[in-house]
Amino acid sequence: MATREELSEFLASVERRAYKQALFAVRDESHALDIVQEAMMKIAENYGDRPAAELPLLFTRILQNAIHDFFRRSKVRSTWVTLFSALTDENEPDADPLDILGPTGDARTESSETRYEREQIVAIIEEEVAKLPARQRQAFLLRYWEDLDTAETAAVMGCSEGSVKTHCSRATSALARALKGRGITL
Amino acid sequence: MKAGWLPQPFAMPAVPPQAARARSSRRRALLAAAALAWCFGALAQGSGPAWNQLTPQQREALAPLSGQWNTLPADNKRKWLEIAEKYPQLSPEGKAHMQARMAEFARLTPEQRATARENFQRAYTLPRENRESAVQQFQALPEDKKKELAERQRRDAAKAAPAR
Amino acid sequence: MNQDEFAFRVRQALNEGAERLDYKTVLRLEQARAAALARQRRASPATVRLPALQLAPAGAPPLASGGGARWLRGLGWAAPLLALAIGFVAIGHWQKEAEIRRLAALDFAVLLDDGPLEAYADRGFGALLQAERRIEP
Repeated sequence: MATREELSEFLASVERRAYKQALFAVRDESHALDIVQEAMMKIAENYGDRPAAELPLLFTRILQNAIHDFFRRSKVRSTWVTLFSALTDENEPDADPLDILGPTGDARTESSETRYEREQIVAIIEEEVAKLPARQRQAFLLRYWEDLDTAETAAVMGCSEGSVKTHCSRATSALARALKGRGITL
Repeated sequence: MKAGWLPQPFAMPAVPPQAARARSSRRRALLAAAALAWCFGALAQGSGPAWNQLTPQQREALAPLSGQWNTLPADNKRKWLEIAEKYPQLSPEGKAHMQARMAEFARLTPEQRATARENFQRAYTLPRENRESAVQQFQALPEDKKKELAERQRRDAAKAAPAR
Repeated sequence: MNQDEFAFRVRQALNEGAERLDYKTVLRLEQARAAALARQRRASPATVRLPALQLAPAGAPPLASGGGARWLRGLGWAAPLLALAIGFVAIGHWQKEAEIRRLAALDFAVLLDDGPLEAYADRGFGALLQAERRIEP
């Protein structure tokens, strides 16, 4: 059973990431905060007595549902965004990711960038992540930021593991392409 | 009980049976008294620690209450000390925010505090925009309208109570 | 660079972005966290067991054998009554402590929030909050 301290520590460790993920999805700071508030309330009220180890996956699910509910309630999912996602998801050619991602182990290290340059790069990466089609972004963030495995991601997203892998590789190549277009090599 | 088999240093002198029984029933009485004393101790309330008995960290956290601290009941003091424990984890803005409201909150009547807790919980089921809208509406109301609303809420609450 | 390496570098950037929130957002997140913790579902005190007071099982000869605190056995017939009294006091004490902790968590959240206290402390404000609820789907 999670103590108040364990739940508090868990929420403190996850709240910034949760806020960012909500922000990427809804593109509005105050709505993103409402979503995080709702998710925290739900997990505390309904699952606050679960063991601490169960909290991360529970919270991930609750947060994704809260984001989903927000779109459903606000009915703001503008048509052209949906069409665009559909097009990029179904019809883009699966270019070989290795072509786009660039060479490994480049000589440029982070210390050669100034802090300002690094902040700019981070901001651009965030912008491009926010521009990803919803399913691709969701799969990418759940796998690579929330550290869920393919099976867990598939369960949260309600799709097959194969779809998860496809979404992830498409998200990666879309990001790589976009960053290259903005002059950034990671 | 014969203790003859024990090595000499540990051997106890033989005790006549009546004395043994008397001693053991005395021990029982003492144990019972101790247990009862613990019960009463747990039930009894001192008035809690005085302000100058708090640690520097506690005094820093609860600084706005320094004036009224010694007048607070023991349970309230315990509650505030719990709050003081969580205070260090806050951001600087959080700390400033909390301290700005502490003195006012402590000065509310118990009934007002209970209402505040109730209203807060209700407010937090709403998105921030709706919370803020409710606050603006409330602050725009004239005094007599506020009293009217308060009366109506009190009557509604009283009507709901028998059903509980 | 393979997909995992690229994703790792993106992840690093995202973590840096998450660290760099402005102070207002940090406060809002703190407030949301405090409000959520004030509503945490907890186990009820009735389920807390007090092992030190466990007496011998019902069918056995009273206090003759088995588990239970030995000092209680020393009290003879008074032991069960005393244990019961202690048990009630302990549970009552525990419940009071739990209630104090619950109120502390709630008051902490109220203090951290923005809403003006004179509004929160007024019953009439509750009516306006309920009205807002009806608008919200």
